[in-house]
Amino acid sequence: MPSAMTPLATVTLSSASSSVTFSNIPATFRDLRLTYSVSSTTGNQDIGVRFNGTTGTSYVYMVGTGSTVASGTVSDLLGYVNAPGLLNMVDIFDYAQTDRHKTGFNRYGAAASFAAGSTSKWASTAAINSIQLYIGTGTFSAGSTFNLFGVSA
Amino acid sequence: MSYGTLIASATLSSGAASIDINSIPNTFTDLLIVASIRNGTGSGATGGRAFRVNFNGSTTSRTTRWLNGSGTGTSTGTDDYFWAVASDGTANIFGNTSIYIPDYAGSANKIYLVDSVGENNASISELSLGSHLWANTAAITSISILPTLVGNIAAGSSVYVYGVTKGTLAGVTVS
Repeated sequence: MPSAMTPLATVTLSSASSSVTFSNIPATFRDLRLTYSVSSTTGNQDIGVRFNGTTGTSYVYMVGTGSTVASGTVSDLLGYVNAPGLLNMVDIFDYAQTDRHKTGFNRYGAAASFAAGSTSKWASTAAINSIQLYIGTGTFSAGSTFNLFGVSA
Repeated sequence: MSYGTLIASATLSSGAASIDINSIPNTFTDLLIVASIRNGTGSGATGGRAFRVNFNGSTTSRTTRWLNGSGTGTSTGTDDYFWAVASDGTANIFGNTSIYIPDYAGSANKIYLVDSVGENNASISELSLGSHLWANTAAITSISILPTLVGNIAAGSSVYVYGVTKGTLAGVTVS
């Protein structure tokens, strides 16, 4: 549960886009909370995340839905997009600490089809100063919204 | 410190059919509802632990998918409820629930996430995640939490409603 939540950035897409990036995130909070309500132009898609522009296999994840559990190390799975708009809420803990890897917990779902939770880890001790969300194939639809909050202890 | 701006709260001094928050202003972006809930008279592994949240007194136009996990297994369903603690649960234990509603005052249908934890007796603890849709474009001005199937809301149950405002902190950019 978050304590004090400070709004850091918000965006509503005026046109379709394949990614959204939050940059210059200050290191003055304890955790981050990211909420996004999205649709895609290409139907059901996974949503990936990159911290500080890092690609590759330094991410691990586990996701559970009503009927399956999956895990992987190829790329981070922090969410899912479906049509119509799908709500994702991600908590990233101790994002600015430089003595530990970064973990996140996401819950999301489409009320008509599934509810899911996923946990993920970025194997880096670097403080997170940027977050990019990108869609697997296609684009986020215009009207998709993304909000970033800093959470204080 | 708080989860946002506290709009209103209610704590029951005696059992009641529901716990209600009214006159929610439309001046925030999102709502965060934090509840501590127990069924006062309804027992049972399924019936007594099922609760729901109504908006503006409406009980229709709902779609739900929940995922529930205990120490021994998982289940999923489409009933419009979340899980807390039944009257025959461990004494003095209340289920903790978080309900997050983005754009609660906007003109689109309302989607929201529900996280809840609770326990039935000393041997079971549960976590449920729910994805919900209220297909109504009205701004949310009131909420009501009540048992879905049996019983009432126990004395000591509480609800806190926080307003969350999105915005920008100087220096943080979006591209």
